[in-house]
Amino acid sequence: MEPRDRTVRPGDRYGATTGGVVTRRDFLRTAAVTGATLTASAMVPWRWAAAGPAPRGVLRIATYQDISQLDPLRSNDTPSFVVYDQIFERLLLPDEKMQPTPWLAERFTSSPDAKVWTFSIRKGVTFHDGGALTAEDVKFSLDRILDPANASQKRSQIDMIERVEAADPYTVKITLKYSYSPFPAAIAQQHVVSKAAAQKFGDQYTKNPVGSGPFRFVDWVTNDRVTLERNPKHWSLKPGIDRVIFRPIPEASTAAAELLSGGVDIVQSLSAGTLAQLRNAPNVTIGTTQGTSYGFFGFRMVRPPFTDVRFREAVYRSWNLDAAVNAVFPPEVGRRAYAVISPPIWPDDTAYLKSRAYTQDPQRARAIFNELMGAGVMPRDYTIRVISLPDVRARLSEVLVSSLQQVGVRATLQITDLATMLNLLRTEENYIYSLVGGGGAPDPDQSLYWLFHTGGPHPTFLNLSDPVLDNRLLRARQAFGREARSRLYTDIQRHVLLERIYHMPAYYLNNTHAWNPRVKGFAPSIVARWNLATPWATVSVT
Amino acid sequence: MGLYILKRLGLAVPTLIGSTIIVFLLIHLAPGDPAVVYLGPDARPEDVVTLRRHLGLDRPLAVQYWLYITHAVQGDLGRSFYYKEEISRLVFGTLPHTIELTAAALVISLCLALPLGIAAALRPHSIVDYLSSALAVAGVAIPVFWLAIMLIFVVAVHLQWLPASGRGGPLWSLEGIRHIVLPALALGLGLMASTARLTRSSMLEVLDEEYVRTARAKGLTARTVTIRHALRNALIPIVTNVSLQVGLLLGGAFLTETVFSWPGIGRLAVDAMVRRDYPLLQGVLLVTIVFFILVNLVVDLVYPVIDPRIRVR
Repeated sequence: MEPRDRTVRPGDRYGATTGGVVTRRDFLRTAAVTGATLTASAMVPWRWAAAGPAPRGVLRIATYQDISQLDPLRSNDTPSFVVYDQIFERLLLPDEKMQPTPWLAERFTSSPDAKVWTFSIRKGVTFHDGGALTAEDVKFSLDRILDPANASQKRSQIDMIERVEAADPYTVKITLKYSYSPFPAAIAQQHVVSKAAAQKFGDQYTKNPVGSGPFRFVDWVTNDRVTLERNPKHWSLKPGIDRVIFRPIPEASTAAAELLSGGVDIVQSLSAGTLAQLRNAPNVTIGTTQGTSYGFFGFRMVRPPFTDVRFREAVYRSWNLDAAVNAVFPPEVGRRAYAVISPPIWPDDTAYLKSRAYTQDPQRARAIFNELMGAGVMPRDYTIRVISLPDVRARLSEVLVSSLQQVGVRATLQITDLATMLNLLRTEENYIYSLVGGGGAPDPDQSLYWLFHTGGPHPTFLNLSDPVLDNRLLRARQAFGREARSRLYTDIQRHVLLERIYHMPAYYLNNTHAWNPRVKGFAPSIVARWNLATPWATVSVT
Repeated sequence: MGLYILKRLGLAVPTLIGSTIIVFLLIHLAPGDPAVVYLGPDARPEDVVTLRRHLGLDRPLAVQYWLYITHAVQGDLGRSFYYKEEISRLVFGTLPHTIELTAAALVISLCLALPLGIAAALRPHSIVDYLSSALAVAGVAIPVFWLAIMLIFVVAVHLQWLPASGRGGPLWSLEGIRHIVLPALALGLGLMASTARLTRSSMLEVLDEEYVRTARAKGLTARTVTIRHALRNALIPIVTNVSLQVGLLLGGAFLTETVFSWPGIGRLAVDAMVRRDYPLLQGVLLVTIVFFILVNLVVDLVYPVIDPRIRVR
């Protein structure tokens, strides 16, 4: 087709810019100028100013999602923990090896039966609003968690408490419903809030958090940033940073790009993909600590064949879990788990559990499945259903499903989000599912009791009620001395992983963070949460 | 004109009611319990029951809808399960950020698309036309998500020209402009592509009309003929397309905001969906629907201005 204008105005010279004539160049120029000016003008003149390092004394940290709450009463997400751990303090502070050490409580004692615990509160500690921290604040902080009307996620951590009393302004007496020797580990997870401020702000305390920690709250802009500043009046710590900005960046590759371009200083909890992006980058330090968060494949045992231990063994023998974990996780991100509990949390029974772990044996798996089918325990056309979240666990689940198919069993994988998954785990259906649970607490009771004792959330997912196990778990939390308790926890782990196979232990998540070398004194901790200022490490920026 | 506006407004009401019912049902029919998500896998079953009661989730669905809609009419959108904050404050705190992002995307895409489309129409089958075709195919085919990540790595990481993510400040500030360029480019490319192609075809059609020939015969300059006589008449389908694309832009903003960690309403919606924060999701969608209806209303009102024949009809 010929251009129409030429047939009408043969005299027009396209390509020239004579007065009043619109030429192709004109249009191209307009396109280039109007569109590109907007972008280029914003880019070129300030090239040298793009995203350089923040001013001295400001630390910028990328988090994978926005915080939910800054009131320790309500929150079950790591980003919130990491922020309010800097604002609020605890009676006992877990040290580098997760052992609770005196902090706001100068010392503590227990009655011989471990039912009454007395904490002496440090004098001279003040909240950010200037109010003194006393036993009343401690009592208030614990009572509000224990009040069922508040439906706090933390109630299950301390629901062995019968009552909390402020014996005098600096002494707190806590009476338990039963003997509970690991109580210091439980109390080391609870933060002390200001009673006066919490009552003043009510449910808006989460937007106006007043604590006693080394950093105080400045502002929180939803999905944009949380800003904290140094508390110059802290009773002990001298933070090395003036200001901390937490920036929620949900897309991992964007967070990595921000670190590379100098937009943030620390990126937490690297995934395999982000790690590959950052591993060889200049001006990026990567640090790894072996984590203790325990990932497992659980059996929801509603009816046969899932309720039959032979079936669970056959599933376990169908696949090569070692190879799957090694293929899916780079060493910095995760490693194979053979036990629920990993060092430095005790007891360390890894060697024994590893030597007895079920290894891949397709012939044996096929034989067991055939035996179960022959006995009518498992219908011949039975389909094993596996559900997984859409993350790295989905890849492990794919390996499991294809391995099951290779030994001649039907298996399907449903990839879903957490809300749907938790919903499915309350239905009357058999499932194999993958979750991360326990492992990160300082005392084995806090992992094993909640993972396996009847009535807890995880046993509900497993549809588990095992009186032998319940009895051991109860004895272990009431026993004294690490040796006696270690023996019981060793028995418990062998029972659930080798004898009854309620879980296939899969992996521990390591804690791998990346940071700009201008950040000093920073290192990942064993758990996903960490403090910017502690007696043993102070983070600073140059 | 007054009657025309009233008629348009009247049509908006049933659209709004219908969409709230659909949104409400879809959200509540999705599997997953907000109380379970909020308390996490470690929560005790009895705490889940208590929280469900607190949140009013134990009531029949019809009652929940009635309460929601009667409160919404009075301007009370409820409180977010997750943030424990008034939804109107959360939504109206983030909506302006999304509007500025979509507006910037719209401006960038129109500034590129109109000249490109016109140039292609004036010289069909020329290099400009082929270039615009190639750009259009690329614009439609390249996923926003991929383009966003590529822009970040090329412009922010390698060239270090612009920041990689976040909102640096208000749009009238230098930091604000520098932060909005990449997300607006990523978001606007799709619209740019479709508008450029539509402008081309629409212009080609109009350039063939007799009144254009008459205008040329009168001895008017090419610029006047193209801009005043051809473009103005070609604008109707373009404006319609742009108004429809605003919905797509808002949808695209959900992705773009996540990749660029832009604190807009799209990210709020994505997070609310994952957390089953029903009231927040309902609030976000309600406001988005109202915004979309308003945009369409404005477009309906713009038609008579562009083409007086519509006013007469």
